[in-house]
Amino acid sequence: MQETMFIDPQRCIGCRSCVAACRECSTHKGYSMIYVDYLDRSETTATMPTVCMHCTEPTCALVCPADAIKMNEDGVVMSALKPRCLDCRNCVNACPFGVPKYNSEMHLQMKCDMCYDRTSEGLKPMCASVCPTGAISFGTYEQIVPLRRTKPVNAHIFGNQKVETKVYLMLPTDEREIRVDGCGVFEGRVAVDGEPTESWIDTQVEETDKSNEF
Amino acid sequence: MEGSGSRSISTDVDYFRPTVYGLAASAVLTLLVVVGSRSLLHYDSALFGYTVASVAAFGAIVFRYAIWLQRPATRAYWRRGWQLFLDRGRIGGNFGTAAKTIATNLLEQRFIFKRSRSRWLMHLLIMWGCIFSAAITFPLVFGWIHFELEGARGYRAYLFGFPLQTMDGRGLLAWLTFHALDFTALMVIAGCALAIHRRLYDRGAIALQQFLLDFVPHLLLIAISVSGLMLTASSLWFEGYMYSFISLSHQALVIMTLFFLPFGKLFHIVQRPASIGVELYQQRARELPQAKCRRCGVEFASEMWLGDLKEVVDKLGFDYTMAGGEKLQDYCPRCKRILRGLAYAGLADKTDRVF
Amino acid sequence: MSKVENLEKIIERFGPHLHDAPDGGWSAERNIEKVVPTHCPYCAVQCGMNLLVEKNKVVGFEPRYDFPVNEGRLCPKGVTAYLQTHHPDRLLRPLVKRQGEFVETGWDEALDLVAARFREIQEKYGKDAIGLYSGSSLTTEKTYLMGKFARAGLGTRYIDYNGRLCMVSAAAGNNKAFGIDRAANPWADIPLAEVLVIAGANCAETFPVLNKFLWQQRDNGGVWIVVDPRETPTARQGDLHLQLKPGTDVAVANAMLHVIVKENLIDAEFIANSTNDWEAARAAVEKYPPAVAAEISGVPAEKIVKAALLYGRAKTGMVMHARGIEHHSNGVNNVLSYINLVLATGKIGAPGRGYGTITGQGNGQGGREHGQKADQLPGQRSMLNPEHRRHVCEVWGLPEEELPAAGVSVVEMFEKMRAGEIRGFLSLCNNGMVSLPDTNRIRESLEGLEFNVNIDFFMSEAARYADVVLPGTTWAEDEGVTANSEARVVKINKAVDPPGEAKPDWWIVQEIAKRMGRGKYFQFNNPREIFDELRVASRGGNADYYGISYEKIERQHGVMWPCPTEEHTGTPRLFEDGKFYHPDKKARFHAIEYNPPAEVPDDEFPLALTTGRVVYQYLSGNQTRRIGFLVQQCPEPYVEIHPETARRLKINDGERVKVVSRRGEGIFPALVVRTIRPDTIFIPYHWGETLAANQLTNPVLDPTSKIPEYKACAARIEKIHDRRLPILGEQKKGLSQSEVQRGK
Repeated sequence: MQETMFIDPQRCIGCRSCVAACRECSTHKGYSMIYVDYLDRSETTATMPTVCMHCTEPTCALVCPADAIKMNEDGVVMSALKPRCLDCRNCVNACPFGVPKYNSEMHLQMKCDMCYDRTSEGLKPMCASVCPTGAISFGTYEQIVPLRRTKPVNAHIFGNQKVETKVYLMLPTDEREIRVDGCGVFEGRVAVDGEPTESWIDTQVEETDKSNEF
Repeated sequence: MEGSGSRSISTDVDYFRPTVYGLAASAVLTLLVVVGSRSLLHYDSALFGYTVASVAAFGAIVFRYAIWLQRPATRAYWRRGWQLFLDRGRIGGNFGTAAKTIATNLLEQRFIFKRSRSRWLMHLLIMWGCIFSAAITFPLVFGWIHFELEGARGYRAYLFGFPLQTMDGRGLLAWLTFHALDFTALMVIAGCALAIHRRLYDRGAIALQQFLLDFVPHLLLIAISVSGLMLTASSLWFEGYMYSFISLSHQALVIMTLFFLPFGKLFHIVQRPASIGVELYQQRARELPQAKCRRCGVEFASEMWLGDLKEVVDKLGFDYTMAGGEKLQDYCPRCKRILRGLAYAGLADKTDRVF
Repeated sequence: MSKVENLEKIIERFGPHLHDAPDGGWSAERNIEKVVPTHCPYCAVQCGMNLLVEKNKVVGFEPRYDFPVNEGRLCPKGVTAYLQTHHPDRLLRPLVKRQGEFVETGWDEALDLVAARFREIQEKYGKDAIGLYSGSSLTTEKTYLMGKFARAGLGTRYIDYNGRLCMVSAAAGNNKAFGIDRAANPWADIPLAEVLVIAGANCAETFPVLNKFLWQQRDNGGVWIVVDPRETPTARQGDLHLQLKPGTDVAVANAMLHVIVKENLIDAEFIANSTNDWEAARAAVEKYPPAVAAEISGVPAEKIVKAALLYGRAKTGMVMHARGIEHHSNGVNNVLSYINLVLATGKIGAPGRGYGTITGQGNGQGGREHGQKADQLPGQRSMLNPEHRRHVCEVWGLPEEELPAAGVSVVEMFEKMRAGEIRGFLSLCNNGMVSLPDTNRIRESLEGLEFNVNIDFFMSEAARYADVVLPGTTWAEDEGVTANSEARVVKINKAVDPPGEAKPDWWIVQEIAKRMGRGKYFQFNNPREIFDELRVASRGGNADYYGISYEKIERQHGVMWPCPTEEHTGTPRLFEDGKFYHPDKKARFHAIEYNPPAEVPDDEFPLALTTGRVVYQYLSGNQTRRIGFLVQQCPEPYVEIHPETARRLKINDGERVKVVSRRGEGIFPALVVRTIRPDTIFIPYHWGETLAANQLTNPVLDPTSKIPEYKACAARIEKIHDRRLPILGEQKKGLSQSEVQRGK
């Protein structure tokens, strides 16, 4: 079985070691392509690590007008081809996982390519190498299953759309997929004075959000 | 990434119309060759091979372009781009915008400068080297330009059969004109050398590159340039030694490159100008009402763009309709990540809570 | 007088400035000439890492998958650690303060000045008028040398180290209970334990890579009981969270033991054979039924019972603790009350059955073994023991009468500076202006000095007050050993030469000694020679390094002391034979009574203030507050307030508020979170000057360990209607990664 990534958010301690180490990847040196977002810092310290899930039918690649996003033979969805990317950002807003990053000055989209510089040489990706807890791991399905109480699944259902991915999410339940729907609020959140607001530590103060820019 | 080993990501393709467009394009070019060379009067039959290859390659490029435009996203941008461009009240301003975009994106290529200075220099050398070469050789091949001796050492250039000014055959201008291809060849060689150096030493490039896609174009360009320079050298200093062999090799290399154009890396040459449309699209999008993220309220894209995008996503066969009737794309990227996290947090754990 | 007259100018010149790229910028075109295996310079996990060297510069790192402790893993500090080495803030030449300004000089001039001034002060006020303050992020060789330098070089009794601010309560507790100061079990035992009791340890943020073992234990079906006033990521991930009021650990631990006794979950055989004083301890916990403990600690009684039953009934289990229970005026008692649990259930000395403190600093363990502690001599020997004194004097060749008496702890040393008893001062590897309690008082102490020397590789907040600052080296520019939290001695290797004229600390200290006429005791040419003397000096002591060699460390991926002979492979687990290190080979129970923290909330100061760390900064922040990535994640301290408390005080999330204690005040943005107790507030302490949490903390000391009470004091919050946003929010105002990198 092929090696791939396994994301186990339950273990994430929000240290962003992966975010720092991601910058060492040679294909996007100096820029991090990984996200660690607080779910709702007012309520919990829980964080969600997001890497590219490498869809088997990547929405990002299909909405690319320049046909710049390609999948390699291992099913890794690569960053946009540099000569082609037109900086239209369709991929950024179409991706169901909120993954691609762009830079308008460079007319460029980049995203996690599973550390292609490392994996192509038999090394583990940077994020999975440094992750202290194993919230991000790299290996084969057969290797990970006996090690964990959580169960790997590679299907998300966003509304009506099922999305299958190369990367697995480790679920604490026996379900075969994870359902994502609707406007989320952290379980047990107590709304004070009407609308729940996000903590300054996990949201942008201004109306612009540049977390998807590099 | 594309080529033999890669999995193609594409929808159903209609080949009929692109074929028609391609053939039509070839026919038009053929017609122009005939007209421009005044019914082949000024046409140099020695260049017949080049002409055939050019006509075929041109048809192939148009075919490829038409195929490309069938991508739903490309078509959406194409249509909306022209619609915005031709918007009556704005057409003047749009020309200005387009001119500015052409200057910064296509001529100056500031975006490559932002990516990396050395890549910018590399690209500038190759691009201008190739553009100048093409601008000189194609009209010559098609018989659109020819020179006639006028007096003892005067030359007169003709464009499409119309006379232009004369110049002194031993003057600086003539020397520059006749050696222009040598200078552009040097530019291309220098640019390709920079590119190959990077491809040999940059770990990121080493990981991603493929020989056919990333080295072959450079090697072809170098080979064309070197064989071109050899032609000059042969005629200038070696009394035409091996001239016909070099000439034949040069021709073979050029034809190979022409046939390479519609595929792989070189297709970006015809594709890149689309960025003018994208830029215009985005500039207009910024002025139009902005869509607010369903969850956090951040303005993250224009309503027009998001609408177009959702349509494209639908056309591609996806159905990201959420329980509340909204689309997943109505959330900003950050909230999509958090939504997923919250969905995960909401899972009942086998033993205890998740978070 | 060592005052700081132009703070802004010093900051402008020496930083902290943010730097966030390898030498020459981020580039994938590198020609790596050398890959140097070494360890992280930060915490006591001492993760292995490989440094990538190009043209005598560290330009990156590569995970060191073969090192068994971390297997390649690193926290964000470790990932960015290499960015320190060529940081533009590095001190490159000796600095002498003239008319309030630092002037660069040559080494000879600076060292001559230091020697002359020290001699002058000692002639005028006596040998003990010089104080030395050292640190535990140094290699063990350097810590050994600092102890020797104080006693044999300067002849002063006053030396102490910053481990005093770290885990010294654990050290004292361990010595009292077990007769030895070392974590009893290797971390490889953690996955074997059914139940972990993690007390006062935010492992997620302070020892991130330790979580590898914690989660292995979890994967094996294990359970975590986390005792912490805050719902830290570790507490959140744990199975049972006892969210106690700061400083009430004794009540909780005693109540747990109470339940264990009542349920007869004790190991009577072990108690009888291997321990003393059980009856006294049993009688003491009699007074702490869960209801009483619940009253004191605020933890529901049923949770305490549940925790006690979980731990008591488990066959295997480990108790681990960190600064949360140690930074108290009752720190040693807190430690001893948890050790009582361990001894009563006999969960010690076997795989998966154990106990340990999680040391904080990189060499927190090694730094407290070889004599830089006020009352300690090499090998964990005592200054007070005549036999020990004789042994060390023999090794050093020092006449016994020249060996000074034991000194005092660092906070007491600063008091002596205020009192004028200590007039000259040399500090190395610490930053008291951030890390010592009651910053304003510390400042007065420093300002009152006649002559102050600081050795560091960056201009720390404390170094600004020095008369002479000598440029030392980072961990990547020198070699030596450290001992991680499980007493695994590992080898730090040199990757590059020091930049500019910076010199290894051991060279600097020796040069001063030579200039003071004590050169015959300081003839070391390299760290290996120091290590060889250390081995002999530690021989026969508790921390016996005699059998350890650099080669053995590399071969075995570390050696756990004691390692008395060259054939010995080290001692991963202590007490396996049921023998402890007291003369009668028995462990000791201690009858512990609950005492509240020295300062408890009252009408004037109604909130309990506790301090701690964030994952992005390391200790006093002198190293990490200069790394762009880390600062972007956490640019300034904040105060965590529970939403109920915030609502009562009409404080909004993100609003800057004034936090006031009896000692000082500071302005911090409020982080309104449900993860803290309503009666408690929390401020991370990594910053200096007006951002220092330690402006507020109470300098009261534990009577035994002399650790200050960082984790509990009384404070109040005042609304000040400050409109400035938190920096983190400001930073995020529409800046992308590359814009932040360019410093827009």
